[in-house]
Amino acid sequence: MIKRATRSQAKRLGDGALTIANAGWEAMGTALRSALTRTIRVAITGLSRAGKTVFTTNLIHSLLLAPARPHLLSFLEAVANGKLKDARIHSIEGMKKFPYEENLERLTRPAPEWPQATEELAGVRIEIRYRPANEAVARAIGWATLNIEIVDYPGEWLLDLPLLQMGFAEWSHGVLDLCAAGTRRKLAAPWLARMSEIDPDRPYGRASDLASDILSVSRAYHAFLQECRKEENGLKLLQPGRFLTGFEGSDAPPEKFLFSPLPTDGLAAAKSRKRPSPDTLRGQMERRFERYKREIVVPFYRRSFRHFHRQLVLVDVLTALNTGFESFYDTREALLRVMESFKFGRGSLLGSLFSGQWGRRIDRVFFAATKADHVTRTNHANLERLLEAMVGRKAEEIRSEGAQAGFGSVAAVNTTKNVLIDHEGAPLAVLEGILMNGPRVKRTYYPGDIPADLPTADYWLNNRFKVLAFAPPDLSKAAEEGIPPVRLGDALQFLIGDKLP
Amino acid sequence: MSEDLKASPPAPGLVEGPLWTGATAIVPAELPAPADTPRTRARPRRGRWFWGSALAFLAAVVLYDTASFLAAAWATNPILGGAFIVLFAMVLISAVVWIRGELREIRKLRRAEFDHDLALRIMEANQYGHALPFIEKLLPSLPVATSVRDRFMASVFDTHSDRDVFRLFGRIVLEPLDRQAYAFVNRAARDSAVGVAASPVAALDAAIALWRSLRMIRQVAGVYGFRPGMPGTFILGRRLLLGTALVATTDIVGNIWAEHLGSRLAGVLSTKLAEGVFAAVRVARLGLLAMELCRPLSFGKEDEPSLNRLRKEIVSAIMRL
Repeated sequence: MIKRATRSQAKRLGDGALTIANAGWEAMGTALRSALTRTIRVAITGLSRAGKTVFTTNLIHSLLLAPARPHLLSFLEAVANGKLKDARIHSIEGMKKFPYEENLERLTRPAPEWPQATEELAGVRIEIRYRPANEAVARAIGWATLNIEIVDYPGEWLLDLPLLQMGFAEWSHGVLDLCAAGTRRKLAAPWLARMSEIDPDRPYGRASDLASDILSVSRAYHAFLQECRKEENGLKLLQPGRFLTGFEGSDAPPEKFLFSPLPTDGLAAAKSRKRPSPDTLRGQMERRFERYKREIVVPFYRRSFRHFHRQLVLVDVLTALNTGFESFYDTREALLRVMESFKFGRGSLLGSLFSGQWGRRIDRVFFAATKADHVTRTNHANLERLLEAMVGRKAEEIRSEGAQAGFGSVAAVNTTKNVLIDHEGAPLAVLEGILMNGPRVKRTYYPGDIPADLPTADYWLNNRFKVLAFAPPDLSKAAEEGIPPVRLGDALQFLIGDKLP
Repeated sequence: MSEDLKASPPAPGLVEGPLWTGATAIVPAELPAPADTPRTRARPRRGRWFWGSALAFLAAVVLYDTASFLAAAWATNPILGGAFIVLFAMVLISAVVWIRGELREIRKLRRAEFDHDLALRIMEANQYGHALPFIEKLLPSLPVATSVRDRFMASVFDTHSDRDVFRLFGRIVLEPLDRQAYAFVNRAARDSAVGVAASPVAALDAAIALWRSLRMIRQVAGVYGFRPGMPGTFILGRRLLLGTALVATTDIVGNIWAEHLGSRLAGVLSTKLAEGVFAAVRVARLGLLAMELCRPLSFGKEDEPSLNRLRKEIVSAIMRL
């Protein structure tokens, strides 16, 4: 009996010791695992209609399906070598959740539709669990975690960035310079006419007169911006960007933020001029301009751009090329202006915005020409080269700052198939897909070839290229099977591949 | 650069037409030649004449002898003669079957070299639509599971260029095969090291290394779907030895390393063990060359196994002895 008692006591002691040992081991594992958990913030940037929302949706979807369907991201190393275990999504604190499920539902309907354009800031955190490359570590903890935070926002807001480096006079001068020629001149006529009726430097007696004049001129400018934005005009360099996407759901900006650029008499004189007095139109516009920057632009970028590590810039080269000479070069100019602000560590306000208090900088930028599925596959290389020609100068600057810049032609959803058809006895490389705004049957379309370098004005005169919009293919099984993209894995590999095995 | 032959393409727009069923415009043979010139083997014609005629003479003598022996046996005793004739017939038939099989394997090996050239051409041209038919032709002869085959076919999209398709093929289908072959080479190298180090007679060293090498070559060839018998292995071995001869003359670094290692090892180990290491490294180099030869595609930069890594593994294995 004594023996039995001591034996049971010994057993309990042994069990207790084992429990403590297990707990200790688990605690060590948890500590090690959390030490190896990293967060990386990727900014998906792009002008309006570049395809950011669809791209983000399929990025999330492909990562979630990656363990079961590795063929969607074949060139993401961690998927190819089987080290990616699984992925989950969560919302980011203090930010609206990116509508991934709603967007996916729209795409997988019997009559699929593209997701709605982004109208406000939304974010998502993708938690990826993977098996570490180091065998010893992998045996100790099993898996490590990488969090990818992505923020989606309207592309128009990007164009407010350059405002931070300009004063009201400089900005006004720039806008009116652009309106001197081309489509803008035609569209700006009503607004310019309204402004010619008023002397911006005349002091006003009554405040109500001043207020009504401010509103009438600003509304005319707002109307002008909305005209420029229309598809047939295809102009992208439109500031302030927030005027176009509205403020948190409403159609037009609230009155207190409305303003308009005013004519200046030469840039040098304007810059040297003293601050105009508050009872003139110019004075009020300038104060509104500064207030817009202070209350809208700065907080927004502090909130969403400050701590980004990696950047993905989506550019819709094809639509710009398709619309015309003015649209193409306007898009290019808008892009260059936006990237003008992506300078790191220069000591300016923007520098501190991007480098953050702890000196974090954007160390990798991937420029992606979207909708690559709208040209035949032999044109993908040209598409990349065209994008490189558009932004090459800036890419060089980025590289000289010590960051890496990559280029690629991608498509969030591959809506077409490359086929060879018999056309008048010879083979012709065409695209097969379902056209937008038509019956859901497959048609074959020949888009032509695109140039590999920046086209001159006469390229559009004898145009051998025309892009046609395709609708999403049959994606009814996409929830389990995935949505085939074009080179999504390559883009991800450049952006986050070094953080994964 | 375009896939089609259209000299003057039509204006952009909707086009209708049946699928093109003819050959694709650009025939692989017309693709640009690969950057590296293939190894040229100068075969002296005179030598072949001598060996050919000598063998024919020998064969004729043997056949004459056999014929006269069989005739004598038949004359002496029809039953005994009949038995001998039947035996001889069996020998003849089995010899024909065996030779036919061997010739088939040899032809496969010869075609492997042509495939490497073609693959290199396709890779350098980097167009569309040529890599997949090439791979589909050789896929049935590779000993891979159906799941691997399916996974590869699912991964290839029409937007992947030829180089992309080869990359996917290397990663999904060839990488597991390479790992198997590498394991065989590793084991063979280690066995040679032990064998050579443990052999009491110096002349036995060469025999051990040779036997183990031949076995390794046969194993490596088997990984990639070849099943060469003795003659096939012999031919493969000969081609490999030529390869090593070329490599040896250009592998200056390897020679320096060998000398350095020799002096170091001689201080730490006995000369016998050092010799074992040398033999193992030579066998390893042969093994890697065999892998390259039997592989459907030559190694790319990223999937080439490192000889240096193999050397280090061998040395550490020896040190552990």
